Amino acid sequence: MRNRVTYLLLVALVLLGCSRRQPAAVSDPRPSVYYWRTALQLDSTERDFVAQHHIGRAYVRYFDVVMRDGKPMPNATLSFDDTLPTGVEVVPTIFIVENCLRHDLSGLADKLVRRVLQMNETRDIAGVKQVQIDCDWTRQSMPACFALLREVHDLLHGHGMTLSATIRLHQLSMPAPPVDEGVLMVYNTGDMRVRNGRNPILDYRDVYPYLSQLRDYDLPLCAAYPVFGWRLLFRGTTFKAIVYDTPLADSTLYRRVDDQNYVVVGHSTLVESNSNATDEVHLDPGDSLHIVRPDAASILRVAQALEKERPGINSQVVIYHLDNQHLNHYNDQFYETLLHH
Amino acid sequence: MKRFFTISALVLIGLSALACGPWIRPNYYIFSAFDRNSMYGPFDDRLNQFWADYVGKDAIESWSMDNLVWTDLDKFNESTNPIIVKAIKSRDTEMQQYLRNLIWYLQTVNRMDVDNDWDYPTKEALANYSGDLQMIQRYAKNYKGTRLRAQHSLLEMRTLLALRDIPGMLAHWNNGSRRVKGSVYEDMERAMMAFALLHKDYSSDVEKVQARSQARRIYAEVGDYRSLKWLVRNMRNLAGIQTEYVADPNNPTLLFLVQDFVNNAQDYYDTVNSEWYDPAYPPENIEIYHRQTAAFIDFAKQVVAQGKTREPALWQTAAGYLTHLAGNSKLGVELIDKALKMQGSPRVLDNARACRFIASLGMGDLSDKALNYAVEEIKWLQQVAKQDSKSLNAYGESSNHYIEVITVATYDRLAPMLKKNGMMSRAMALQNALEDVTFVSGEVATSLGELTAEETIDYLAYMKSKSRTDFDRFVKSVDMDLEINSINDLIGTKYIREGAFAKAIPYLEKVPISYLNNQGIARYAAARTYKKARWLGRQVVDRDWNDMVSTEHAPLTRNQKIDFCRDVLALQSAEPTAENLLALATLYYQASYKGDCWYLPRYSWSCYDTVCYKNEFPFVEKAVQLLQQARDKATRFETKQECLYALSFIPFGEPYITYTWDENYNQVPHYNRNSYEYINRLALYNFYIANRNKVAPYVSRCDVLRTFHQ
Repeated sequence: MRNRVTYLLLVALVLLGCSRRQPAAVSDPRPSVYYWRTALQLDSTERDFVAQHHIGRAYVRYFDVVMRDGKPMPNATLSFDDTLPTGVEVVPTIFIVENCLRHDLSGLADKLVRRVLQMNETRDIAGVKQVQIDCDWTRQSMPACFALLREVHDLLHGHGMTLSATIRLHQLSMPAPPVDEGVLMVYNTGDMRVRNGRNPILDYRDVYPYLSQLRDYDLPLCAAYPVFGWRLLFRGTTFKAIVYDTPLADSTLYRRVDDQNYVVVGHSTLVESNSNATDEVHLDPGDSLHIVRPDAASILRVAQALEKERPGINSQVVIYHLDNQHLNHYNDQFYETLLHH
Repeated sequence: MKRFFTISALVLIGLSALACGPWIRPNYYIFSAFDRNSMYGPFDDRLNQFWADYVGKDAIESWSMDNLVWTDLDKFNESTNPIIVKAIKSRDTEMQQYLRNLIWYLQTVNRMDVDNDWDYPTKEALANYSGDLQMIQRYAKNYKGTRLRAQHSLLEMRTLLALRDIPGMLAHWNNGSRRVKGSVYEDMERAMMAFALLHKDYSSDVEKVQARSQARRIYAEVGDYRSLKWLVRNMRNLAGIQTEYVADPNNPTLLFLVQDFVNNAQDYYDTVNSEWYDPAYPPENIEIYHRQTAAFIDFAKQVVAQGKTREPALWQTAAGYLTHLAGNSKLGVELIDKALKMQGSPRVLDNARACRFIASLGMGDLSDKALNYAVEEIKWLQQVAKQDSKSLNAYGESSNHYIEVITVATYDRLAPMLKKNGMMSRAMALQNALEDVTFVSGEVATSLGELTAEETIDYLAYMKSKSRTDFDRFVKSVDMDLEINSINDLIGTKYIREGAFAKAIPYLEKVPISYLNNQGIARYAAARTYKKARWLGRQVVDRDWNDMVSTEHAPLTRNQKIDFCRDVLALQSAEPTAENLLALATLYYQASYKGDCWYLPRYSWSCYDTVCYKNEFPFVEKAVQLLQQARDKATRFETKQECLYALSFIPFGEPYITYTWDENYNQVPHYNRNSYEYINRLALYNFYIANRNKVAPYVSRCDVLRTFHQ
């Protein structure tokens, strides 16, 4: 009798499992990269990487949207100093700073779409089929963000294009945005300000709690994995900044402890400049620089876990991001496994 | 670059100096063989001077130059910009044409900035911009005059830069027939030439390295240190300095690199020697830094010995000043003394003298001879500073290096040393004498606030006494900016602060009520009384922001400080009954930094205040002692009740409850049953239990007591 009940339960579970909809993957998947610099200029290493790994799509950051003079304005617009290799489809990507969502957004969708289209035309970027919006929206800003996305989506469809959005892990617990597909950002999973033994860029323990929400997330998804590192500056246990460009070999400024750790021995002021911020960072003697970078095995383990929870999510893998400073920290086998599994 | 030792900000109003808080001042660099101001807008002054000369003034507002870009070219003749007005009024058609093209160029470049607008330029627009730039370039190229040939040559270079025409830039530079040697326009062109060198395509790495070296040299020669700083970012160390020296012992980049090295060392040593230094810093790094400093000093000495440099004074001063920074001021001074006799530019030799002065103060010599030398050097620094008077700005700040050296010498070295050695009056007088010179505001007020009453009296006497030395004559040459009422009020208040209530009265009696009514603390004195016990209620004055910024108050009719002193003296000499002891405790506590009447012994109050003045009377501690005595003596129910309540109210000693957090971030309370707070609250609680029906509402309704019970 007991065996019979167990058998029936198993059958019921199998049937239930079969009746569940297979989660949707993105359309026309290709090995992809993010290009997240302010000037489009590929060196030979980057070009070789694109060719060797058959990169077919590049999510290229066109510009950011920031608040300036009380209005959302474009910032850090990409300078087209070069072109991408032939055959690589460009997905113009716009990063919207979250605080913009708390202001009047009327007319923004139209301006944004027009600007992207104009940039494509002016810079001869042909064959654009999709635009992506990157925004760290929260539960509070979600209504404003979704309204904006809806408008952008409709405008793009009018031009025969689709809209995708980045999806952060914490956003998996909220409704899916009104876009055609999403790229799950599987990086920046921890808190870089805390030195707790976990890798703030990617740690399975930080991804794990979100896995259960993955299967039922109602949006075609692919995944973006990190290929980058950070130099985190700490004063004691207090986080100070991410340091982007500083010569670690300069012995008047740094003393090497090991490959991952340096101690600051001289004062310096760095002008920090990336796509989203321009600021000054003061390095003081006694500060420590901690270099973090997820190892290949960790990335592959997380990718496997995601695939198990949501089959097909890795049908398209996006490397974040194409940058020769980071690419050579991983070997070809890793890239082959990740991109082409 | 200026660094701050501390980031705490306190607002000081008049004499309301807070001794409890740190004071902000940048850690000015002492070693300055080139003007650090040239890091920012290296060409602006000279460009501005050209336009000032043109307009016929000593100087023009910088906006006149900056605002040219916003000129409506269709209404050029209606412009109010003084440069354009001058060109039109004097019918200077040559200049008008140049200005029109310059403005056109500036506006075109501005339009090319793609972050300015949502409208991204079309292909046609970009082509138009290029076309415009090419037209401006042709205009500049075809200029046949002589008067503005340097300006037109620069304009051509600028258009080529905007067009990113690197070969064109190089060709234009190599042609160079219209450049005016030594002009700011030539220097600006050279800086652009450096850019072109850095962006040219090279067939070999050797060529590339050579080009970078040449670009560094150009940036250094034209004084574009900001660009240079970026370009040498990987060379800002001894190895980089050695590389540049080996390539050319007189490489102009060395001026920047040597100064940068010494300034960085100053930052380092000042940090590790500062009182705010974090002791958690690993000590082995200090040794590493010492070794690097020593290696530089050795190298600098070798450079001088080799005799290849044209500026041995630069290297010798660097070696001497680093020796001082590393802790040996005597040897540092000896080394710099040699530098003063060596070859160097006037700026380098001035730098040597300034460095020698600061290094000499590290020896701690406060003899008359040393102090007279200090005065001599301060006077010299004032003279040198005047030669660079344009760097004194209108906001009470100075970016003038020599004024900064005076500031360091006065406020960071001499005055603290004098104070430490008991020469308070001289320290005060020195600070007072140089306050207007250095634009240091509030330091004298702070120091005056820190003096005891007796020291203040001594200071006043010193200022009136006959001068014995050059130092005394110099520091007394500037009168104290204090009127007699301030002095009397200050001394009387200090005596209250020190608990010398009888001594305070004669000074306070000389202060007219009209003077008190104008003090910032008058509004508190007008609204509060020290006779009402703080533990029975707060006397609120600042209910909201409007209150805080208000200067209106009911007029004072009496000097509350005098009344307070008299009441305290009366109670001190009265029979020590429980009631009298309680009354005195009430007065003491109200006058403490925790009381409502903090304005009696102070001029300002902050929630971070503590007992922080020299010889400060421990009002809180004394109040507690009196309350304990009163509690033990009390026979009247009301007196006992109030004493117990007051003792329970006053935050004193260790708290009876502290919290930590467990691994799940739950609060974990820890009780300290031996604490003063616990014992007093328990006593009040027991009193309440025993007299539940008799106690006053302020006890029965006390939520703190209820919490304690729970």
